[in-house]
Amino acid sequence: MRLMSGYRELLEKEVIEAWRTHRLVMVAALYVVLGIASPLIIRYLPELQALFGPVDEELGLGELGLPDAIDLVTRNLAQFGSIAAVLLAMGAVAGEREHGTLGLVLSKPVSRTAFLASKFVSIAMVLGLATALGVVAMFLYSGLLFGPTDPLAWAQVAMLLLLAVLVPAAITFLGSVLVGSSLGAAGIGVAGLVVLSLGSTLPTANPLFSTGLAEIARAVPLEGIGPDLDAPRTIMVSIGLVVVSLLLAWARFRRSDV
Amino acid sequence: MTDTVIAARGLTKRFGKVVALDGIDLNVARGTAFGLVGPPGAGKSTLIRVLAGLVRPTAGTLTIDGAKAGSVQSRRRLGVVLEDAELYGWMTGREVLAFAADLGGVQDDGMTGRIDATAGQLRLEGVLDRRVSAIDRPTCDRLAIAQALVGDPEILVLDEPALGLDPDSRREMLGFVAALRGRATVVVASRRFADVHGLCDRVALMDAGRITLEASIAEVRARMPSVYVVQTGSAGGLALAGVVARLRAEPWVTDVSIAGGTLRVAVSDDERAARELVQAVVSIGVPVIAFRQEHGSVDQLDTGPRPA
Repeated sequence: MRLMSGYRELLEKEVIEAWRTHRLVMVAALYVVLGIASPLIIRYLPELQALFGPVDEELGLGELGLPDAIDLVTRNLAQFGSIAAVLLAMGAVAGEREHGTLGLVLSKPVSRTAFLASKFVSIAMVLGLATALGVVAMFLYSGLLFGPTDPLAWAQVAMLLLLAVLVPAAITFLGSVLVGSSLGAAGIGVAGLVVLSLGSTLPTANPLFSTGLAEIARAVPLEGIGPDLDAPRTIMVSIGLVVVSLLLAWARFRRSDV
Repeated sequence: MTDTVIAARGLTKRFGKVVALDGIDLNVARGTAFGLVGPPGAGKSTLIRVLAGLVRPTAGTLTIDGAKAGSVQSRRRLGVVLEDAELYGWMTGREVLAFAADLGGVQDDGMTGRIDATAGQLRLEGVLDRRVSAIDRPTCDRLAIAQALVGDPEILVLDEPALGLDPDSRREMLGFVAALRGRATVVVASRRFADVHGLCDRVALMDAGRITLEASIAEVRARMPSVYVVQTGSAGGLALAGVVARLRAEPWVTDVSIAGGTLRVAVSDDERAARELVQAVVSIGVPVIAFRQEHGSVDQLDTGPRPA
């Protein structure tokens, strides 16, 4: 198929590059550390606080348990994951342009669609693997420290958190196609994150922003998704943002001069 | 009948208000070596980038064996070495070649043999297992040619393959390119005529996005004024000024320049130059230490129609 000519070879190269340049290991390590640290912090925070002397009861942390650990890990994975997504996507196309390797690849018999697809799929693979490892770490440690939870619920958490970070990844990816520098692309990605964060502070608009995915992810392993959360709408809007960003990137890139 | 493999018709490329290619018409015959020569900004690299599918023309057409330049089908026939292209620093030399061969459609069972043969041809055996980031520049340039060749392309396109190299590396690089003649159609862009004159069958001289002359190498050389260098024993001053004035008055002298005690004289009549030039200098009392002929510059070419 001409539209995807060279896709397999390009994806293979992207995966090897993610491994060789330690991107995969660093992002996975970040997620695993967050997945392990969040339940540990919640479990041992009262003891840690006690080390610094007696605390006024009104200022105390109160009873901390599994809901707090889940709250912390979903927040952390969504926030740090979004930053990792921006860092991964900023150089996807702009970096190749800056380093002079874009012409080398695109003068080969590969389609530009395949080039973009291999880039974004490899970013999604890195983020997906890291999310899976982070959530597995959280599942194991929360089970160890607070008691067992439903593994299927954690699979849903992983999917939601992955979608939450794919949104800034796709916006930054679009930036990487639009501007000639990785820093410029990162700026567009960060601006996107700021807009999403500000938008999510409006209670009525929150379901429309991907930041709401972390709230849904938080609810899944505990009491389930309540009536105050509109999960289908938030998920559809997030998927829509990813698809629109990628389509815009494709429309721009397929006709641009290298 | 000539078998045309690359054909441009009215090819135009504008970057905003800048006209990089201005209605280029060009034919490159299959199996020949073709040179594009011109100063920086002449449009050579833009033409090569259109050929490689990296830049879209504003108007006109460029076809490779009938397929529109830039299509996947046309790029299957090409091996391209761009002037500013870099290789992936994290790959080893072997991985660079394997990646290029993979994209070029080389089958897995023939891959190792093809890589080893190409590396051997360009004397790259010693760097195949080294990371590109640890390989010196001239060797990287050879590796860039190897990655273009490893897919066994029908057409090899090189943009300034010898630019920035020291004289030895330059000679070696041009030798490698010369060895490819007959194996593929070769298109070489260079700002120096000297880089292509021993390499190509035909050449297009470019300036300001246009082809000012397209001719065989022999024809270009015939149009090129001969330049003679006369190294004198004088360090300059009035004596040499007198020599310059005397030479400028000669009808067969088209240009005279002076640097220290050395005169550079462009002439339109080689016979008279050989017979009278040294005599003209010596007759004024200036001793001659050395006398030699050089190739002129393409800038001095008369690109108008030849007299019948």
